[in-house]
Amino acid sequence: MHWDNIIFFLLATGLVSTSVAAVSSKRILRSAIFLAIALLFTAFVYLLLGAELLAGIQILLYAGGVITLIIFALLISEKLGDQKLVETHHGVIPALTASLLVLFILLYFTWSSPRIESLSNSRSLSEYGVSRTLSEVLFSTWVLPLEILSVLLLAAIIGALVLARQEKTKGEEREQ
Amino acid sequence: MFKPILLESILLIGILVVFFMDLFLPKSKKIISGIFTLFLLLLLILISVTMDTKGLMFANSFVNDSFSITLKQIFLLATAIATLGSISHAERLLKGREGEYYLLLLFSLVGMMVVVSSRELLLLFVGFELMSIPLYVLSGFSKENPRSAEGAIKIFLFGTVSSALLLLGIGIFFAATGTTLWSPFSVLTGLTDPLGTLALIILLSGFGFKIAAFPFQFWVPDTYEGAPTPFVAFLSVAPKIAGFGILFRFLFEALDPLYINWTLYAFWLAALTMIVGNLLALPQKNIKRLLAYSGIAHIGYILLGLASGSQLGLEMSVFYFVAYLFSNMGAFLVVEVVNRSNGSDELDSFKNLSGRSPFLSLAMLVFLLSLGGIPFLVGFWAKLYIFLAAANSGYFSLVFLGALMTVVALFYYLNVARRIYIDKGTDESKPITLPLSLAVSIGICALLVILLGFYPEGIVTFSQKAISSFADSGVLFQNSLHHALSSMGM
Repeated sequence: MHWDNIIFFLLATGLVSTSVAAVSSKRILRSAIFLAIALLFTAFVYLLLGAELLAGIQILLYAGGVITLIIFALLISEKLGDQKLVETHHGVIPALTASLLVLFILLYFTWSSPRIESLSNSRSLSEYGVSRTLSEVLFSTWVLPLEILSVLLLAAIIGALVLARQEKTKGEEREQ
Repeated sequence: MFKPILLESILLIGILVVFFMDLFLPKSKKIISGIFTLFLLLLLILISVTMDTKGLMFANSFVNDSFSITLKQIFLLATAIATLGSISHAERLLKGREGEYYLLLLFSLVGMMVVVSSRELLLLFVGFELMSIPLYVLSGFSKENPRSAEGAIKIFLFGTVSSALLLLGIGIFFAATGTTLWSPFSVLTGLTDPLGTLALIILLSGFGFKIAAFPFQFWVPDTYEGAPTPFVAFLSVAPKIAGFGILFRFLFEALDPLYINWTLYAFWLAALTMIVGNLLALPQKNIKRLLAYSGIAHIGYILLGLASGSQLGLEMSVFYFVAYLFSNMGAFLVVEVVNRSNGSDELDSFKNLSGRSPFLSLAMLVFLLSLGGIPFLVGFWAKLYIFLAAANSGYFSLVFLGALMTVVALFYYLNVARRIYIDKGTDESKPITLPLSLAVSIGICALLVILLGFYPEGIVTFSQKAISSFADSGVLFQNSLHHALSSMGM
């Protein structure tokens, strides 16, 4: 076995186990920490595949920014931080059946594919991970998806604001 | 030079105008943003009809052909009817949030217009998200109603899973073919590998969530029940047609080598969706849930057109879009009016409607009969033509099943009609007053359902023009009779 295969399997095991821990932990703060570790593992997988910029962004934005915000929000709303999570939905058997079915489909088709071997042997082209190439193609080949993404973000901000904003009741309106 | 994205550009400029207008309008004058939205949409329809915007852009990843133009016209029409139907609802119940309501509708519309034009999977994904995210927010727009929040969470969770599936499918598609771009003029290599089939299955499930085909339909009734009704009229029509638009373009242009596989999957999806939708509609006591399940059944009929895999099947699916658009949106708008006066969506609130508002009862009857497929309303031709296309491809068993299910459907549609005309209500008997905007939108829908029922040739020509771009760009419609028979073991 090649050494980067071994590293990949180590990273994958870490990623899967911390992800499972993040959704199965009963304390929400622990879930957040596990999520942060899982995101860090993802960043290392990106590094392994030669996408340095993506790895940097992953650490900076997700492991750094988003998780910090989540933990911050948990700490200032004390009620959430101390409470133990209670599962109210116990559909274990259908969930397990569905997941196993998906796993079976994924394994069956990838196992029987002759192409997968050549794919796994091909070395990754690391030029796409470099910020210079990335910025060039982002504003030439991929300019339309990029622009639509900016519209999408505007829509998401407006949507989030309208959902989070507290509506004034009729009584409050009259007082003003 | 920017001809192919003319419609999208004007729409985006319009969105910015609505956005800034909303900042400066006083709270009592917000109705202006609704009226502006309506005129913007009418202007866009006019432009799409009169100007030639065909062409390719952005390294062939964005295409405006007669298929995408037709679908864009359908989306614009659906959004215009929904906006007209929303004006009084927004003024009454969404005070202070009207600007955002119209903005989110328009954002979703841009997303739909992008997805039906894209020939590139990442562009398609971004457009798909732009179409979906405003829908999640709009589903939860009635904040005072806990049902609305529940429905919004359900559509959000299902939508996120479908996006994740799409991304996974795109990744596998890329692994199989080495590209995310496709063109009807060249056949992608590598699709015959098992990875290609895997990508097809996963992408089909991703889109299946959006069009609410079985077994991905669970979010539909709950979301419809909680969301603002004029928005449900939009949600039940436009995003589903957009989902079919993607499927048509992607399956016929890119996945041509896997033709036998996906016609078979569409065959089974169509059969199961028809059965599940119609049977689950039977016991419903709430009109919005009933229409939700009947909508799922209609998706099954359209899937039948897709499964037939022929040019005729696609043309007749576009015909079905138009018929479904007017009948279903009209029915939901009548539900909105009844809810205004009774405050309830229960089937029993329709009792004695004929005595309270003859216009409304007649309109509802027309919509229900059209959805049920009674001659000579537009819904009848839609079903007949879809069955014809399926029979032409050799799916006689499916046509038989569809006809059987149509009888089942008539039972629950006529059940509503019985309450309107025969059952006497005891509690409510005062006449229903109709705001002008709702009366106009319901009137237009009802008139078109009747008129197009007498003149179906008009939509047939419209649909043929839409699908002609597939034949023009070299998509080979195979005679699927042989495949159909062999796949059924005959």
